[in-house]
Amino acid sequence: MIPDGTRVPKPPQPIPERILPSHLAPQSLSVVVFGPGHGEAIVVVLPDGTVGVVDGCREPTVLDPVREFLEELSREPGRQGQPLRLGFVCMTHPHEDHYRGLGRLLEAFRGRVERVWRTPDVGDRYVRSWLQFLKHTQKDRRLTPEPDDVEGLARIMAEMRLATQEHGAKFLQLQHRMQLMEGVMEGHPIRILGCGPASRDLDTAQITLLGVLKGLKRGRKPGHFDPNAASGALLIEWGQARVLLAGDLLCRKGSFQGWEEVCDDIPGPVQVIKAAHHASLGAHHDALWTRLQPTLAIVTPFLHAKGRQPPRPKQITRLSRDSVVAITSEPRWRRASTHPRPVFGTSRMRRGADPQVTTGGFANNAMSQVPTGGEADARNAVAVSLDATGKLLRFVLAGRADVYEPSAGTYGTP
Amino acid sequence: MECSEFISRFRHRPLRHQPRPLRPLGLGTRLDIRPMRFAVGLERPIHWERLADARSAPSRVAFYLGRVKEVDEREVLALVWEYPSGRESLASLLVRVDFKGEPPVPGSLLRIWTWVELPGRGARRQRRKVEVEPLRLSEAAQEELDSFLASLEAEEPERSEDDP
Repeated sequence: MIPDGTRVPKPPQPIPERILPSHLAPQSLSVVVFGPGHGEAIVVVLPDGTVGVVDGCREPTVLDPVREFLEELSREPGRQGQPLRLGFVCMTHPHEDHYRGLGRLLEAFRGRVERVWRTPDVGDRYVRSWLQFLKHTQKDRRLTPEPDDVEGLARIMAEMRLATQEHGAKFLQLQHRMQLMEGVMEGHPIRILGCGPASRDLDTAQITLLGVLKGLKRGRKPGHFDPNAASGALLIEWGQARVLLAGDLLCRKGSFQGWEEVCDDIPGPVQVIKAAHHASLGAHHDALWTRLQPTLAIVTPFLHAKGRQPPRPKQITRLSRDSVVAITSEPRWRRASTHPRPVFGTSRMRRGADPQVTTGGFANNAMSQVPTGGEADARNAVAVSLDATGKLLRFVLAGRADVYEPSAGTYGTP
Repeated sequence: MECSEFISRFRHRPLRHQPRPLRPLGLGTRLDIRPMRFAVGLERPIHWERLADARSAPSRVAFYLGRVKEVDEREVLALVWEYPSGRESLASLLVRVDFKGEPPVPGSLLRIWTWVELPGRGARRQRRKVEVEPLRLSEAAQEELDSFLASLEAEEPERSEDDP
């Protein structure tokens, strides 16, 4: 339970099924993190009403929670029924759990996007190389259907090009030390700053990727390339309020410097952090975390945290020592008394509670797998609003989002 | 039996959402199912005898075709399709356990058998067996990659508007 003494307001109960614009505080810096259990999409509402989208986790089939939220937002009284414009659209890195929904969103907002931010060289060398890799490893295979992520990424690139070349959207590189936006809102200075990737990591990514493609061409086992190594990250600053959207940026690994290269340029304290790379151990920079002293950490699970996928219980326990930890979707950890516990929901993963849920509807549980698409968890989200002093005004959980606390009961028992 | 024991247990589950989400009545659990994209297992027999190395009675047997998406040092992420429905899901497999320490090339085809063993005394063991058919690029694909790599060398990198 979130104690009265913490700086995080108690979320409204009963937990709503989805986030509505009315859940956000007016004239505040608000962030809505959607995390259906595989990747993330983030909607940012700035104090003057400017709306931005960072990443898009799912190719919408029937339900697109981001579009749904934006449509609700356009019907808000202050907007006079005008079609909503997006102040910025940002792709932190070309990984399918972060880009899948962006293409459709850009299509829907064609001509209504003011800024496009993405990793440098995305439209040119880096992502075109990655697209080639996807094309030759995932497409045109016999026996299995063609996945839609190759077309998804190609669609985003085409729409981003269209937005900048035909509709006058401003293109900026998402990169360490890049000032993406600045101004004054509600009497306080606001700026959005790129906190990653470091330019050195981008060069390394391109070189590694070319090596992988050459290996593939020669029929050898290609080396490993992880697009997370060159992920972007954003810092949003309004007065004393700071929100860090950390993308999937990792710590130092091999030739990649990751957080090591950029952490000194991130000013603290930061009240809200969307934890990097689903709060995996490899993305947690302990010194940076200690310095930033986040009040609230928002975590989006990868593959519902099944098997060994992040977040792991140990890491959530670690984060919740210093911060209130909100997870957008219920992690499907194996049951253990030492695991962090959800504060507001009852765990559906209790053995015997529902065999259909524990196996995900599959014949057995021998493989860590989650169905793709679907709507059941699509609206899972965490929303937070801050004022210019950095005070958290609103904190809302939706769907199966929950606050997790260590089993020792740091915040008391529910 | 262990099975009948947990089914008969009364479910205490407090209401989480109010009002209740709009869900069709009569279906206890709604699953995320993508419409069938293709039928798995038409191209060749499934070879259920692969389960011969089961140490005790295999039950709840399932078969999947899979395609390797990503590989890192320890884990393999694959898109898998269930037999015979074609239901699609994302699965993670272990390099050490499922591939005997030899990570597959992204794009490789996987055949996966999963089952549960009941060795007795109420124990249940989840088992799986993975077969890999490595990715091989056609000559046309190799040529396309060649020309792409050559074209990269001749290009200037893209710049943003604020780039000096």
